[in-house]
Amino acid sequence: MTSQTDAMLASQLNHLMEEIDPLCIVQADKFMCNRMQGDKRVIILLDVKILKKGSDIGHKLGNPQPLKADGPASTEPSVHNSSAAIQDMNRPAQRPPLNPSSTFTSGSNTPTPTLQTSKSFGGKGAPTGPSTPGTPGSNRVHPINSLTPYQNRWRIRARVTQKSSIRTWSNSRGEGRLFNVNFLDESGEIRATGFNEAVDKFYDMLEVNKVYYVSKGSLKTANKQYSNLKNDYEMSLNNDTIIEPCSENVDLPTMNFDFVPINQMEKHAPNSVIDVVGVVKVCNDVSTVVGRQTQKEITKRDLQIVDQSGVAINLTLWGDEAVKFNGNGHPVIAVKGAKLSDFGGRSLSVLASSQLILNPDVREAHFLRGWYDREGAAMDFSSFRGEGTSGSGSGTNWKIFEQAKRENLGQGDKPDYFTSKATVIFMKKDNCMYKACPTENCNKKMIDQGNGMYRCEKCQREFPNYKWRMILSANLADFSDNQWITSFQESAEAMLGIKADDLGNLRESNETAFDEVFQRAVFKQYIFRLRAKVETYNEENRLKTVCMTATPINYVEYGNHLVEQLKSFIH
Amino acid sequence: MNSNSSRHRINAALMPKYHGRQVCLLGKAKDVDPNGTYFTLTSSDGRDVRITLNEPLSEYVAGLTEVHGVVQGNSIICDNYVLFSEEASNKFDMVLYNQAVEMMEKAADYYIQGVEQE
Repeated sequence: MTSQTDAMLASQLNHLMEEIDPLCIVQADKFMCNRMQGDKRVIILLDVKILKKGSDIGHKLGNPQPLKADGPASTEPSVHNSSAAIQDMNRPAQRPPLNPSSTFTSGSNTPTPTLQTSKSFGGKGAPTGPSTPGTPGSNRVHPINSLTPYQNRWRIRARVTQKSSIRTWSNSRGEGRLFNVNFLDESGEIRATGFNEAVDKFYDMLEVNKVYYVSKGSLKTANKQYSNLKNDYEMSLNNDTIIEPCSENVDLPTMNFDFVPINQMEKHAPNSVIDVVGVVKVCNDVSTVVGRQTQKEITKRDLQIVDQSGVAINLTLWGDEAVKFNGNGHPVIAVKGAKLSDFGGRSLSVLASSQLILNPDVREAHFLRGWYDREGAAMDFSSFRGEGTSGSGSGTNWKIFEQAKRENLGQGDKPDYFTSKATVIFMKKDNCMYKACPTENCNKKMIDQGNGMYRCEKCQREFPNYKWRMILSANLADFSDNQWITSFQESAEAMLGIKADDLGNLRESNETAFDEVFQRAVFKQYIFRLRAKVETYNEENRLKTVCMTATPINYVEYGNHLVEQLKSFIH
Repeated sequence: MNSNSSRHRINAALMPKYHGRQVCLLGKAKDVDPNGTYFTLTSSDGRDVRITLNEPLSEYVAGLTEVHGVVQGNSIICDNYVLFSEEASNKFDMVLYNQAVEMMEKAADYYIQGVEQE
């Protein structure tokens, strides 16, 4: 073999980096030849087969010389596949023997070509793929994930999955207009931006969900700040860009989703943008809210969507989309790019940039449809809960103590509220109450001045009297575990069955009666509403569980709660 | 399962399944026979079941009552019974109780009634 040249692997072949070693023999099945600055030519390999590893060959074959640029024919780079490449060359005689199965070293600046046994030279078979021989800059369609700034001879066939409105900008460098579209094919997605003239030229012709051929856009590194597509590059539509509608029927996916199951929402940070698919379980009527910043009235519609994970989440639609939405018949709804918020535990909102599709033709949606019609419609769903919202209703966050520990309740940034049925097994009598400032709404512990007067540091006053406040430590148990809690005034009074002032009097006057109050109070059961939060004392983190309320058990209510829970286990 | 060793808590709908076996049926008693040899128990699932007594009743039976006995077709031959107070009778949630009975039956592997003997 006589010639050597540089070649590059197209980025979709990056995985071959490991396999291709120096002196390796490869067969180039698809490649294109590009002319770089000066006369330097580079072959971009789109599809290669490794015929023999360099390590098996071990030496340079022949004495190849660098390929020299020549006649005009070679300045016209074109896409080929291996055998077609030869046929396409109209003047093979003038052209240096640029062999499609030449060998290259990867990633090396000093290629060490080796002799190859030109099997494909014989024109073994017809070229495969949509390549049209004899058409320079051929009709071959490139996958989106092969686009890089390093080669500009490409043509993609892709579906528009998203189109923005036209936006204007104005800054120190001037002003203008722009819009974005997202293109999608089997291999991936890319975002394209058109500025000014491109807006006039392309904005109206590009329609969401239609398929186009696109070529001659310029590629650059994607600015991830403006895009969440999984592509390192993005495209600018410029004056040279050619976009033609594709009239053929092509089997392109309609959209690419990365669906998050509803029960996994808590694993995603608030304000992140995610894809979701679910069945519309509840479709509320359109309502209006007044925007906090704009003071304008905004139309919205709240949906509750569910999936096989057994969890329901709220999804809010806004504006036109809210008005037009028809939730009849529990449709499947898919949202690409919905915003996750921690409002009400976890909820979702459809943004202006989100794409909402009813009954999409994707696998997950078909599964959901079948699941919902079969069993989902009759299921009970749990939902996300924000703090402070759970009353005694169906939304109560019931936990057994073992569960509260296992789920690390209270270890997060926000306190966790939960409800347990438990038995009081011990209460600490010592320091269970203190003398507090009698001023209304001031419960500050007062300092005994020793002269019959008490001083409140907060009110900066001395009083001859005080009121009793409870701060009761109690140990609660259910069948699974036990839990120390701190209980204040009302809940402590409820558990002890006596007012704090009466108990204070007993403590001072009749110790036996005081002790009896505690003896009578143990081994009673209540429904406890608890608040768990890690607090730091002296640089030590301690989980503090405070009793919000202790209410006697309403057995019918609790029984119904148990029936609901059991039903969910038995199904 | 040895029928002598377990006394399942049932409702009227389950009676055919427990024919000839020891059961516990809770309901509201009414219509005591003048001779005191039988009365009617409205079961938790709302059906009237005839309760036949081996010995005539010696007290007035009404309201919430739990009957222990053997199922015979549509009636129960009563071995003994427990009469609840009027107060308990008034605040008893029969619907919830019936759900519990159905659930015990449905999840019999988890809610084990009586002791099984070889």
